[in-house]
Amino acid sequence: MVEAAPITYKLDEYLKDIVQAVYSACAVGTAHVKDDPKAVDQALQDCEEVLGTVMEGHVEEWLE
Amino acid sequence: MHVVVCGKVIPDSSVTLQIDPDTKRIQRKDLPHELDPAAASAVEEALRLTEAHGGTVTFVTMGIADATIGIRRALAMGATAGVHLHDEAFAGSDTIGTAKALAAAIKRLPAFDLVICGTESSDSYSGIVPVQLAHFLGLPPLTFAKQVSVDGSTVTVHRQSETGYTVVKAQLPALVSVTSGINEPRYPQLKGIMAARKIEIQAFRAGDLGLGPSDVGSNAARERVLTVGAPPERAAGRVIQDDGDGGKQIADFLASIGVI
Repeated sequence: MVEAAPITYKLDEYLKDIVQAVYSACAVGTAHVKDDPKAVDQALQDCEEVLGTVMEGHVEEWLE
Repeated sequence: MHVVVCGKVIPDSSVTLQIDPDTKRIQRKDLPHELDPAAASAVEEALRLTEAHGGTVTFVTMGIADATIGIRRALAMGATAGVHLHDEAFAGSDTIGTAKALAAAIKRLPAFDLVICGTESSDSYSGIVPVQLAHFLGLPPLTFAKQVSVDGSTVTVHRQSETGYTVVKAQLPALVSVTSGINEPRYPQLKGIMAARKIEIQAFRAGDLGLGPSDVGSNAARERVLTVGAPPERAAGRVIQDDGDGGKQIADFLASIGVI
């Protein structure tokens, strides 16, 4: 059986938070497409920021 | 000001809830959990008040180990502290036991000005805990608030009613329960998520709060759920073809069932 790496739990928690943040931002953005362009812009920026951080891939910093 | 928010962490809304046939309780083990949307509205309202007046927000919940997911969510939204009442001794508590435990924990926190709760949780919908909590804390309960404002030492709420709203005021400290439509809770941003991970969640067991089996848990519960069942299946609807007299047919049908 494959043993979980020591960082797996923390990494899992971090990524769960990240996915929830992107999901929430998308939900708010899509809910306001017709009535609040500022909210949509903000949601897009937030998604970009979160995904940009993940793409940079500094895993050690995520686990600090 | 110091605002304490009491809320629940509930099974994720995407999960179909199962009831344990023996205990009549929701089976929570191994289910993904999330911050109750009603609690998120309460956190949001607390954050708006402290952003306007300065201060801190403490989120308090009672629940299983997975409740930390919801506490982290409240912290990521901007709450400054999180408190988790976690102990097998709390399992099976009824609403009075829950309110008693929450009150005991809140009394151990730094002095507070306002307690905010959702009107009712989105999994069990009892809606009784806020007023019971107010009782145990000796606070005036201002319920069903669809708008909350604080001016000096006075809190004012617009209390939702069937015909509109009533304006209710109380001196602080007080307890307010907010309706789910009061606001649109913010979502956690990256900075908030990172900050939340550094905050240590304060944990209380029943013994830490001076509570025993006669106060909390299934033995202390005075409420008993006797039966739980699925709602009866709905009868098929009646389709009316409109051949020029559709309106009359509908009116006749409504009259036949006594609606008009």
